[in-house]
Amino acid sequence: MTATYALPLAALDRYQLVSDHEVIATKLARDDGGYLSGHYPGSLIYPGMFMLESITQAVRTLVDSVQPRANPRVRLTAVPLARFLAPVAAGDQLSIQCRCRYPAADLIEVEANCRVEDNAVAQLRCTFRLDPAEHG
Amino acid sequence: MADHAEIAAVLPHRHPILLVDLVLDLVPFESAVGIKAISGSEACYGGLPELAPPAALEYPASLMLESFVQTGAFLWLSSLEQADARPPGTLVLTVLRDVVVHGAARPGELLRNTVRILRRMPEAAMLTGQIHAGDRLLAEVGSALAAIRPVD
Repeated sequence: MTATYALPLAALDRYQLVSDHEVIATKLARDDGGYLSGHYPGSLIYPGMFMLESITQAVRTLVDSVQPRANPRVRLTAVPLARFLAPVAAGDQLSIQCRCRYPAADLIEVEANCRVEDNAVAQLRCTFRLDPAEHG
Repeated sequence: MADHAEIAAVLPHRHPILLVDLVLDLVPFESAVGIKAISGSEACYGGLPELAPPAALEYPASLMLESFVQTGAFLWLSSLEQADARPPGTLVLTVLRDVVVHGAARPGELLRNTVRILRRMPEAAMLTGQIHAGDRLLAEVGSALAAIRPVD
Protein backbone atom coordinates (compact mmCIF):
# COMPACT_ATOMS: atom_id res chain seq x y z
CA MET A 1 0.00 0.00 0.00
CA THR A 2 1.28 3.47 -0.86
CA ALA A 3 2.06 5.70 2.11
CA THR A 4 -0.39 8.52 2.60
CA TYR A 5 0.56 12.13 3.12
CA ALA A 6 -1.12 15.45 3.82
CA LEU A 7 -0.71 17.39 0.58
CA PRO A 8 -1.16 21.08 -0.11
CA LEU A 9 -1.96 20.29 -3.73
CA ALA A 10 -1.61 17.68 -6.41
CA ALA A 11 1.80 18.99 -7.37
CA LEU A 12 2.24 16.66 -10.35
CA ASP A 13 -0.08 16.36 -13.33
CA ARG A 14 2.02 13.66 -14.98
CA TYR A 15 5.26 11.89 -14.31
CA GLN A 16 7.59 9.60 -16.19
CA LEU A 17 9.93 7.22 -14.40
CA VAL A 18 13.03 7.34 -16.58
CA SER A 19 15.07 4.97 -14.41
CA ASP A 20 15.63 4.12 -10.75
CA HIS A 21 17.61 7.34 -10.61
CA GLU A 22 15.47 9.76 -12.55
CA VAL A 23 11.90 10.98 -12.70
CA ILE A 24 10.49 13.76 -14.85
CA ALA A 25 7.19 15.37 -13.91
CA THR A 26 4.99 18.14 -15.22
CA LYS A 27 2.65 20.55 -13.51
CA LEU A 28 0.48 23.21 -15.09
CA ALA A 29 0.36 26.33 -12.92
CA ARG A 30 -3.33 27.11 -12.56
CA ASP A 31 -5.83 28.28 -9.99
CA ASP A 32 -7.27 24.99 -8.78
CA GLY A 33 -9.35 26.54 -6.02
CA GLY A 34 -6.90 25.40 -3.36
CA TYR A 35 -3.80 26.99 -1.87
CA LEU A 36 -2.77 28.44 -5.22
CA SER A 37 -5.86 30.63 -5.35
CA GLY A 38 -4.29 32.77 -2.62
CA HIS A 39 -0.85 33.07 -4.22
CA TYR A 40 -1.69 35.63 -5.45
CA PRO A 41 -5.34 36.53 -6.21
CA GLY A 42 -5.60 37.75 -9.79
CA SER A 43 -1.91 37.19 -10.48
CA LEU A 44 -0.98 33.59 -9.78
CA ILE A 45 2.64 32.75 -9.11
CA TYR A 46 3.53 29.13 -8.42
CA PRO A 47 5.30 29.40 -5.06
CA GLY A 48 8.92 28.32 -4.78
CA MET A 49 7.90 26.09 -1.88
CA PHE A 50 5.45 24.32 -4.18
CA MET A 51 8.31 23.50 -6.53
CA LEU A 52 9.81 21.83 -3.48
CA GLU A 53 6.45 20.09 -3.00
CA SER A 54 6.42 18.97 -6.64
CA ILE A 55 9.91 17.50 -6.21
CA THR A 56 8.85 15.78 -3.00
CA GLN A 57 5.86 14.17 -4.70
CA ALA A 58 7.99 13.16 -7.70
CA VAL A 59 10.54 11.49 -5.44
CA ARG A 60 7.74 9.63 -3.66
CA THR A 61 6.50 8.22 -6.97
CA LEU A 62 10.03 7.08 -7.74
CA VAL A 63 10.41 5.42 -4.33
CA ASP A 64 7.01 3.74 -4.69
CA SER A 65 8.25 2.33 -7.97
CA VAL A 66 11.68 1.23 -6.75
CA GLN A 67 10.57 -0.09 -3.35
CA PRO A 68 6.89 -1.02 -3.81
CA ARG A 69 6.89 -3.60 -1.02
CA ALA A 70 8.92 -1.69 1.54
CA ASN A 71 6.52 1.25 1.35
CA PRO A 72 8.83 3.62 3.25
CA ARG A 73 7.76 7.04 4.36
CA VAL A 74 9.64 9.71 2.39
CA ARG A 75 10.50 12.81 4.40
CA LEU A 76 12.33 15.95 3.35
CA THR A 77 15.36 16.47 5.62
CA ALA A 78 17.45 19.16 3.94
CA VAL A 79 17.58 21.75 1.21
CA PRO A 80 21.24 22.72 0.85
CA LEU A 81 20.43 25.08 -2.00
CA ALA A 82 17.41 26.22 -3.96
CA ARG A 83 17.60 28.95 -6.57
CA PHE A 84 14.36 30.33 -7.98
CA LEU A 85 15.40 32.00 -11.20
CA ALA A 86 12.13 33.22 -12.70
CA PRO A 87 8.49 33.37 -11.64
CA VAL A 88 6.15 30.60 -12.83
CA ALA A 89 2.83 32.24 -13.72
CA ALA A 90 -0.68 31.01 -14.52
CA GLY A 91 -0.68 28.90 -17.67
CA ASP A 92 3.00 27.97 -17.45
CA GLN A 93 3.73 24.29 -17.91
CA LEU A 94 6.37 23.40 -15.37
CA SER A 95 8.73 20.52 -16.16
CA ILE A 96 10.57 19.05 -13.19
CA GLN A 97 13.52 16.74 -13.75
CA CYS A 98 14.80 14.99 -10.62
CA ARG A 99 18.10 13.11 -10.70
CA CYS A 100 18.60 10.98 -7.62
CA ARG A 101 21.55 9.46 -5.78
CA TYR A 102 21.33 6.91 -3.01
CA PRO A 103 24.29 7.61 -0.67
CA ALA A 104 22.83 5.25 1.95
CA ALA A 105 19.98 2.78 2.07
CA ASP A 106 17.71 5.31 3.76
CA LEU A 107 18.81 8.51 1.99
CA ILE A 108 18.10 10.08 -1.39
CA GLU A 109 19.93 13.13 -2.66
CA VAL A 110 18.12 14.93 -5.44
CA GLU A 111 19.24 17.46 -7.98
CA ALA A 112 16.20 19.01 -9.57
CA ASN A 113 15.96 21.26 -12.59
CA CYS A 114 12.68 23.03 -13.20
CA ARG A 115 11.92 24.54 -16.59
CA VAL A 116 9.13 26.30 -18.41
CA GLU A 117 9.60 25.53 -22.10
CA ASP A 118 13.33 26.16 -22.67
CA ASN A 119 13.80 28.45 -19.71
CA ALA A 120 15.29 27.31 -16.41
CA VAL A 121 13.07 28.62 -13.61
CA ALA A 122 14.53 26.84 -10.59
CA GLN A 123 17.37 24.58 -9.50
CA LEU A 124 17.19 22.74 -6.21
CA ARG A 125 19.26 20.29 -4.23
CA CYS A 126 17.33 18.36 -1.59
CA THR A 127 17.79 15.36 0.65
CA PHE A 128 15.08 12.91 1.65
CA ARG A 129 15.10 10.20 4.29
CA LEU A 130 13.25 6.93 3.93
CA ASP A 131 11.67 5.81 7.19
CA PRO A 132 10.32 2.31 7.65
CA ALA A 133 6.60 1.99 7.10
CA GLU A 134 6.03 0.46 10.54
CA HIS A 135 7.17 3.74 12.11
CA GLY A 136 4.39 5.53 10.28
CA MET B 1 1.91 42.52 17.95
CA ALA B 2 0.31 42.20 14.52
CA ASP B 3 -2.92 40.25 14.15
CA HIS B 4 -4.19 38.39 11.10
CA ALA B 5 -5.84 41.45 9.57
CA GLU B 6 -2.69 43.52 9.94
CA ILE B 7 -0.62 40.72 8.42
CA ALA B 8 -3.02 40.50 5.46
CA ALA B 9 -2.69 44.24 4.95
CA VAL B 10 1.05 43.82 4.35
CA LEU B 11 1.44 40.43 2.67
CA PRO B 12 -0.07 39.69 -0.76
CA HIS B 13 -0.95 36.11 0.26
CA ARG B 14 -4.59 35.26 0.84
CA HIS B 15 -6.66 32.37 2.16
CA PRO B 16 -5.82 29.54 2.27
CA ILE B 17 -2.10 30.21 1.82
CA LEU B 18 -1.74 33.10 4.21
CA LEU B 19 0.15 31.00 6.72
CA VAL B 20 0.92 33.43 9.55
CA ASP B 21 -1.76 34.09 12.17
CA LEU B 22 0.07 36.40 14.54
CA VAL B 23 3.39 38.26 14.65
CA LEU B 24 5.03 38.97 18.01
CA ASP B 25 8.13 40.77 19.22
CA LEU B 26 8.71 42.62 15.97
CA VAL B 27 11.82 44.80 15.95
CA PRO B 28 11.78 46.69 12.63
CA PHE B 29 14.45 45.54 10.18
CA GLU B 30 15.79 43.11 12.79
CA SER B 31 13.61 40.27 14.01
CA ALA B 32 10.13 38.91 14.63
CA VAL B 33 8.29 35.81 15.78
CA GLY B 34 5.46 34.49 13.63
CA ILE B 35 2.79 32.14 14.95
CA LYS B 36 0.87 29.70 12.76
CA ALA B 37 -1.82 27.48 14.28
CA ILE B 38 -2.19 24.16 12.52
CA SER B 39 -5.72 22.82 12.30
CA GLY B 40 -6.92 19.43 11.17
CA SER B 41 -9.49 21.22 9.04
CA GLU B 42 -6.83 22.74 6.74
CA ALA B 43 -7.12 21.95 3.08
CA CYS B 44 -3.95 19.85 3.06
CA TYR B 45 -5.70 17.22 5.18
CA GLY B 46 -8.77 17.06 2.99
CA GLY B 47 -7.59 14.20 0.79
CA LEU B 48 -6.62 11.78 3.54
CA PRO B 49 -8.55 8.54 3.96
CA GLU B 50 -10.41 8.01 7.22
CA LEU B 51 -7.99 5.37 8.42
CA ALA B 52 -4.79 7.14 7.47
CA PRO B 53 -1.82 6.41 9.76
CA PRO B 54 -0.95 9.06 12.35
CA ALA B 55 2.11 10.09 10.34
CA ALA B 56 -0.21 11.21 7.56
CA LEU B 57 -1.17 14.15 9.78
CA GLU B 58 2.33 15.60 9.60
CA TYR B 59 2.05 19.15 8.30
CA PRO B 60 3.78 19.32 4.90
CA ALA B 61 7.34 20.66 5.05
CA SER B 62 6.59 22.92 2.07
CA LEU B 63 3.83 24.72 4.00
CA MET B 64 5.90 24.89 7.19
CA LEU B 65 8.76 26.57 5.30
CA GLU B 66 6.32 28.83 3.45
CA SER B 67 5.00 30.00 6.83
CA PHE B 68 8.55 30.82 7.91
CA VAL B 69 9.28 32.83 4.77
CA GLN B 70 5.97 34.70 5.10
CA THR B 71 6.93 35.70 8.65
CA GLY B 72 10.21 37.07 7.34
CA ALA B 73 8.48 38.84 4.47
CA PHE B 74 6.08 40.48 6.93
CA LEU B 75 9.00 41.63 9.10
CA TRP B 76 10.78 43.13 6.09
CA LEU B 77 7.78 44.65 4.29
CA SER B 78 6.11 46.09 7.39
CA SER B 79 9.44 47.67 8.35
CA LEU B 80 9.69 49.22 4.88
CA GLU B 81 6.12 50.49 5.12
CA GLN B 82 6.81 52.12 8.47
CA ALA B 83 9.77 53.85 6.82
CA ASP B 84 7.61 54.75 3.82
CA ALA B 85 10.12 52.90 1.64
CA ARG B 86 8.25 49.86 0.28
CA PRO B 87 9.02 49.49 -3.44
CA PRO B 88 6.23 48.50 -5.82
CA GLY B 89 6.30 45.02 -7.30
CA THR B 90 5.69 41.34 -6.63
CA LEU B 91 7.06 39.51 -3.61
CA VAL B 92 9.10 36.42 -4.56
CA LEU B 93 11.49 33.97 -2.93
CA THR B 94 14.75 33.81 -4.88
CA VAL B 95 17.22 31.70 -2.91
CA LEU B 96 17.04 29.22 -0.07
CA ARG B 97 20.22 27.85 1.54
CA ASP B 98 21.14 25.43 4.27
CA VAL B 99 17.68 24.34 5.30
CA VAL B 100 17.59 21.40 7.69
CA VAL B 101 14.27 19.78 8.59
CA HIS B 102 14.27 17.91 11.89
CA GLY B 103 10.62 17.12 12.34
CA ALA B 104 7.02 17.97 11.61
CA ALA B 105 4.09 19.49 13.46
CA ARG B 106 0.58 18.05 13.61
CA PRO B 107 -2.89 19.52 14.04
CA GLY B 108 -3.29 21.26 17.39
CA GLU B 109 0.29 22.52 17.43
CA LEU B 110 1.56 26.06 16.91
CA LEU B 111 4.44 26.75 14.59
CA ARG B 112 6.70 29.43 16.02
CA ASN B 113 8.84 31.03 13.32
CA THR B 114 11.75 32.99 14.78
CA VAL B 115 13.15 35.15 12.00
CA ARG B 116 16.06 37.56 11.80
CA ILE B 117 17.10 39.76 8.90
CA LEU B 118 20.73 38.93 8.12
CA ARG B 119 21.18 41.54 5.42
CA ARG B 120 18.99 43.85 3.41
CA MET B 121 19.27 45.56 0.08
CA PRO B 122 16.90 48.13 -1.48
CA GLU B 123 14.68 45.43 -2.99
CA ALA B 124 15.64 42.26 -1.14
CA ALA B 125 16.17 40.90 2.35
CA MET B 126 18.11 37.88 3.53
CA LEU B 127 16.37 36.04 6.34
CA THR B 128 17.50 33.38 8.78
CA GLY B 129 15.96 31.54 11.70
CA GLN B 130 14.29 28.49 13.14
CA ILE B 131 10.87 26.88 13.33
CA HIS B 132 9.71 25.34 16.60
CA ALA B 133 6.59 23.61 17.86
CA GLY B 134 6.67 23.92 21.64
CA ASP B 135 10.19 22.94 22.65
CA ARG B 136 10.82 20.90 19.51
CA LEU B 137 13.09 22.35 16.86
CA LEU B 138 11.40 21.48 13.56
CA ALA B 139 13.64 23.25 11.08
CA GLU B 140 16.57 25.60 10.67
CA VAL B 141 16.80 27.99 7.75
CA GLY B 142 20.35 29.10 7.01
CA SER B 143 19.17 31.84 4.70
CA ALA B 144 16.22 32.75 2.53
CA LEU B 145 16.37 35.67 0.14
CA ALA B 146 13.04 37.43 -0.37
CA ALA B 147 12.80 40.06 -3.09
CA ILE B 148 10.44 42.49 -4.73
CA ARG B 149 10.42 42.02 -8.49
CA PRO B 150 9.13 44.89 -10.65
CA VAL B 151 5.77 44.23 -12.28
CA ASP B 152 6.11 43.72 -16.05
